[in-house]
Amino acid sequence: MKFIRISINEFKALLNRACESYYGHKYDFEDTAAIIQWLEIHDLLGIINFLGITDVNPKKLNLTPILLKDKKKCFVFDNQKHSLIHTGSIITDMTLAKCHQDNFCHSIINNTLKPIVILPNLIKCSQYGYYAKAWWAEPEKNLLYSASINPNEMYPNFSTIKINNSILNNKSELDLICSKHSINSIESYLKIPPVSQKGKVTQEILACEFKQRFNEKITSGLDIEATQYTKLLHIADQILVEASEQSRLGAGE
Amino acid sequence: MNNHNHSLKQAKTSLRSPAKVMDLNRLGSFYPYKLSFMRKLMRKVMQEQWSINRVLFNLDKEGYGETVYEITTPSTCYHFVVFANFLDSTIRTDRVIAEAWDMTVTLRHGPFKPDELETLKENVPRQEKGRMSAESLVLSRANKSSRNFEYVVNQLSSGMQPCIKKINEVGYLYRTTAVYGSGKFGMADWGKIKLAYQDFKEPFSAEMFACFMIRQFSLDQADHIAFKRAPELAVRLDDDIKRYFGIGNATGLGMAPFLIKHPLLINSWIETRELALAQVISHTLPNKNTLQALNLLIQRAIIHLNEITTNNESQNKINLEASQSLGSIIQWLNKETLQEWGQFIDYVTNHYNVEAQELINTILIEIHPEEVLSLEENHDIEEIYALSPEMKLLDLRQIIEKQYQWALQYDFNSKSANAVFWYRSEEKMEPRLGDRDIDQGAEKEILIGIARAVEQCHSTLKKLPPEIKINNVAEFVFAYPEHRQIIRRIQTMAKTKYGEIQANLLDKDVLPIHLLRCKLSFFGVGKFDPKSRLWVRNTMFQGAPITSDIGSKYKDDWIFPIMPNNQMSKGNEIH
Repeated sequence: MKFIRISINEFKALLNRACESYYGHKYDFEDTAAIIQWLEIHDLLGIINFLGITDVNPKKLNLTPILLKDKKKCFVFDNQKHSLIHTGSIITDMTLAKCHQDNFCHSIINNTLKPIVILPNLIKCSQYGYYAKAWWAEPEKNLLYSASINPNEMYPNFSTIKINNSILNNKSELDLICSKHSINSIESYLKIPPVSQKGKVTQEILACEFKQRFNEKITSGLDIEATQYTKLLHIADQILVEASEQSRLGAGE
Repeated sequence: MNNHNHSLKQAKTSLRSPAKVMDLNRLGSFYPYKLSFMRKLMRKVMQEQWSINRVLFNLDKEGYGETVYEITTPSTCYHFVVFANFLDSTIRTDRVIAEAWDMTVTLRHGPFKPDELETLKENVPRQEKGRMSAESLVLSRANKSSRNFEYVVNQLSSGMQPCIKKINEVGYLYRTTAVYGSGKFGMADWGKIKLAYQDFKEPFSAEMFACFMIRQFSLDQADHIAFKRAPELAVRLDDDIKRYFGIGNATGLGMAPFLIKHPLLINSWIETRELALAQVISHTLPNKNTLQALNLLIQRAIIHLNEITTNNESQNKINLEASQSLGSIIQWLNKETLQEWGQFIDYVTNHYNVEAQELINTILIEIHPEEVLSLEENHDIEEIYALSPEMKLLDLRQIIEKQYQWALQYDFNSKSANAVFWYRSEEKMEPRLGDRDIDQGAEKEILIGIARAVEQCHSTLKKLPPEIKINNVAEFVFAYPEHRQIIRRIQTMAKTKYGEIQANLLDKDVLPIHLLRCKLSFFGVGKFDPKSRLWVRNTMFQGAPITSDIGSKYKDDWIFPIMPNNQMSKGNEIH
């Protein structure tokens, strides 16, 4: 497999162009680009997750989730089977605003794809001085994913847990909690026995490991698989305007 | 509170208003000043006595080949690699879309390893089409001044120094056409540079140093070619003349979007400059020494302005008027007894245009190093434009109406207010300006019309249907995601004073050249020679020390460079 090494700044500029090209100015393309960048830098497949959604045309489709329930300390959204890449930020905005008002907010996001996108959004909660937790499941693999962060931290802790429980029946639901005070264990929300035994945790990425991943990339750059890079570049290039003699006048020629 | 904090607080109370400072016309009248990046860089190089040595000088008799300089600072070592190639004059162009150059260079970390030269040779001359490694900090290129280079070499190889007046017409031997840093083409990220390479932790200092080294190579190369042409007769370029040579630069629209996309950074640059001025005005009083220094520097500025040669009529008019204004200000100073600088500033403000006002501000800052150099340490700006989702809509509206009042004055339904658009061309992604009535690509325009975006957001806020219950920003952007980006900016910039350029950049009469000059002034660039309203030639490092000056006493006094009174060059005038 061929790889191309690019710097973080270069990657950021490329993603900004790609997202601006893909979303237009109808959405906050810079914020979305920053989320994809965060995932890729931290080895969480940002590019693949983005390329996987580019068959949808956001300029023709309303990507805004439906707000099903708005109660004290609680929201329920229907993400209409869209990727959280499109909507993670505005859902987090809503959660944060309610947490600011009620000191706590539990948002349930139904029918969502790519829930991993919630990770960089948890950092926003932390930067506001809140505790935050998120979890989702992959029932066919008996896996529960959970991430949490304390106030004013740079990175969350992220765990993948092997669990065999009927609670994992809704595979496209994501739970996000943002709170002024520390949050109860995920198990208490799921009403399952504690999963503290190490054997059940199949993968764990600690905050310090996320930091390490970032430091590696800032030092040496990112290795991006060549075909993915080409696809990204192709999307990004759609924002460029064809050159002509007339257009060269617009550069002062 | 200590004295420093107290005096800083005092100065902050007399900062000029953003409406005054951030006016595009005024920003386009800024001059390089004591804390401009080149000035800061040269102070560092000279004070820390960086050692700069040529470790490879493999040039043929025409000056083509490779040269490597090794740079040792107190903390580490770098090397600067130059590839000088033949370039057919018919394809020599300043435009970013060029494919070949007289000189291509890179600045890299670590000692020079000869076995890396071949890889560099394959990539550096290709510029945007090559790939660099994370050890490289800067990639750049430059073209010879067709007017000056051959003339200087001819003079030297004939045993004569070049005529200063002739040199003054251009002021440099080479002109850079792009200087890339901050992670472009695989180079070291800015995040890495500021952490790992402390010598270049100031923004753009690595890029500025590369320009300084290009200037040095241009002088070394001219000496070399002259000597090869006439080993018996040739003379070396006199050091005073070398110092008078700067390095040219051609800057186009590419710089303009940067100013709009980094308002927090721009706020920091402008606030520092304004703070320097405010400290001088609020902490010092005119005395015999400072008045004498003021007088001398105004006189030098007059000579400097009179010596600038440009074919641009409006720039000539600006320079002439500024020079005349300064002459008249000196007369006023000689008559008046100044009690405080505020009195002087008021007089200049009331009687002269912004160009003269900003010249005087620059000079006042220059003659008070003790007030200004304390601001030299640049605080690292983390550019985060975060949304405050809990903000009440009423508060957001108030912020817009108070701090973005300037943006609400335009009528974007009128054709002229929305006449142009900015876009990236497929030719090297060069930013260009298009006319909506003529040019293709408006649907792909860059989001640079901040005033229009603010106005649109404000308009949506005002027209919210009463039946829609929206309380806070989160609910607003949930319903209107198209405004999220501009609201993040508005909320962030509301906490700052400067940063937003108060102009409609979509107006049919927009003058992007003001944006370019503003940014260039912070770099330390002078002698602006506009070629159109979209690009400008200018000169960097003119009057600055040369590498052989490192180790001798540094005067930090090269603002407003003027022709050296060089005996050797007299009598060589071209008639």
